[in-house]
Amino acid sequence: MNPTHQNSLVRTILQQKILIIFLLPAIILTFIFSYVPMFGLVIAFQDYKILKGFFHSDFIGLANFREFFHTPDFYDALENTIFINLICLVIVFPLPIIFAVMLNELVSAKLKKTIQTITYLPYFISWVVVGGLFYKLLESETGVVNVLLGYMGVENITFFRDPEYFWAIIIFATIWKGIGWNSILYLSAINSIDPHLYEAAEVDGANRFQRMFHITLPGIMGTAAFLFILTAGSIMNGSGGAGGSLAPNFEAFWNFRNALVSSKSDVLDIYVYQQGVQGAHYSYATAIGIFQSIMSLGLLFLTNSMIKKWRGEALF
Amino acid sequence: MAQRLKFSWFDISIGTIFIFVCFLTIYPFLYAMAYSFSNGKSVMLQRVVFWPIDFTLENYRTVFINNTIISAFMVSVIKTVTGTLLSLAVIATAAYSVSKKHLIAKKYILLFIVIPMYVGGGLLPFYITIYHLGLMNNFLVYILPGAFSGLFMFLVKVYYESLPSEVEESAKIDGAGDLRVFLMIFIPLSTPVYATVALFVGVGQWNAWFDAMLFMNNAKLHPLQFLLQNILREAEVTTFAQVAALSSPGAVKQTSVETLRMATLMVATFPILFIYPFFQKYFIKGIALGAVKG
Repeated sequence: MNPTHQNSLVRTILQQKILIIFLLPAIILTFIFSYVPMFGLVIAFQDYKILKGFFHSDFIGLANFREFFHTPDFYDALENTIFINLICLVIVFPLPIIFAVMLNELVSAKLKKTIQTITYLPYFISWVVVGGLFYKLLESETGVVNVLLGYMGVENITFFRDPEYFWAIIIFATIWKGIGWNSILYLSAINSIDPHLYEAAEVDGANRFQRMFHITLPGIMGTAAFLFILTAGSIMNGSGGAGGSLAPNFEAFWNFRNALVSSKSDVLDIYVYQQGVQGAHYSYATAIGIFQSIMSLGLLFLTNSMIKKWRGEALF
Repeated sequence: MAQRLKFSWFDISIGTIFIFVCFLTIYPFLYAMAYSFSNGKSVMLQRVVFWPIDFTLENYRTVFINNTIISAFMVSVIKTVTGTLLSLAVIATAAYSVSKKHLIAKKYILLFIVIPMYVGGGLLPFYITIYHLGLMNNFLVYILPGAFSGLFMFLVKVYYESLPSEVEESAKIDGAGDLRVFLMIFIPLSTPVYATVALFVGVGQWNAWFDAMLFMNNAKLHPLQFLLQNILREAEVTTFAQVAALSSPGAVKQTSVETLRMATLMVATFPILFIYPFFQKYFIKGIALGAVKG
């Protein structure tokens, strides 16, 4: 690098010193809390001891991975994770689309706004509170659901003591909490559809249903495909966060589960927490985390290529 | 045209479905509220459906004189306020820098910020990092790790870029530096997007409990949501009921573990219900903008 170049670089840095200072906190925080943990993934290949640290723990290759592949508890958690998320992908995923399309059919703008305000609210309520509400509503004998069932002559149901109800409960709670909020992207997609299309269709004599099926739905298919890929990509971690997919996450499971229903409620994220944090098997749990990430990435690419074949375009 | 103004069976059935959906959304809150205003002994004999049974304020009184709950409430308030202000400061300044076309090494800086939005180390490496940083049992563990968010930074960046550039240019010609431009021009013009970010960060802070469960053994620094989780899950509720019995012997007749639980739950929820209507108009605007441009 010649001196003039160096000078101009120094000059640029001096000129932009405020911009650089403005960026420093963000860069430092990102490095410490995002990049350092990424390097921390090496402990999956170690027999990590927290007192020895990253640098002094012994490397043991793939032993941690072999261990969980031979553990029955891991397979139980894997099974719960896959089934709950598949149900969500098939049954829950289309609901915000239906919600948005139906909301769009409402004639009154004021009513539309009121419904949006009400249905977005549960998104802002913590899973602790949602768990508390559902335990109360579904309580044996005294909960309002059992009271209503009693009027209809149905015998008392012990919802939170019987594992067979758990999936239905947590999936319903996920819908309750997220259906409104998850329709936002579809609503903005509908709003960006050219109004001339509707007018032209009306002139051609298309009725309301035909306009809904031939204009509104195709207009949001791109958004739907995009979100479907992200949701399918998060089947393994139940993270429920990626791209705002509508599936229960760790916080949901933790606040809904109890010891009596653990056979149906304990997904991989719960297993990782129990093994890693509660059991201090750091390396073992990290290895499972890596397994989840790799599977997620695989699913992401798989769904992406399937969507691409079908629609001609996809996420990447 | 005249036909469309009439309500068809289709309009009526959609309307009915939405009324039902809205009812299902609100009802759990009404139920918990009715419970929290009910006499703790009466709810054992009669069932709450809509209205409180033997209306009483005793549950709330018991909650508000409980020192553990008050201090947890204060921890939540303090971490929500400090966490939100810190996040806003970090995000607003970083967004200013990356909104400038001429920023040095801009491509690499953006890449550095975008990568962690898609990949991460996961729970255990994060846990160990916090441990080695010495942030265990430290209040800072609530506010530092989440202080910066790439997603919100891009939301603010897009907003900054939508502001008219003439004011900034003329200020620069008059000799104003980046600091002045940011403080005097950008901050006053960016209230809507700041409000949006503040809402999400603030609600996230108020609702957070997992960080406390992972990193905080010091019960004095537990936030309300984490205490509520313990109260709902048995662990602390017996001591809670005992404290209630000691502090106001008369109240015990009108409260029960269940009604006290619901009163605590409502106390943890009211702040959200209260600010929600005020922020609601901002975030619909802010999110719409982000969705269209981003």
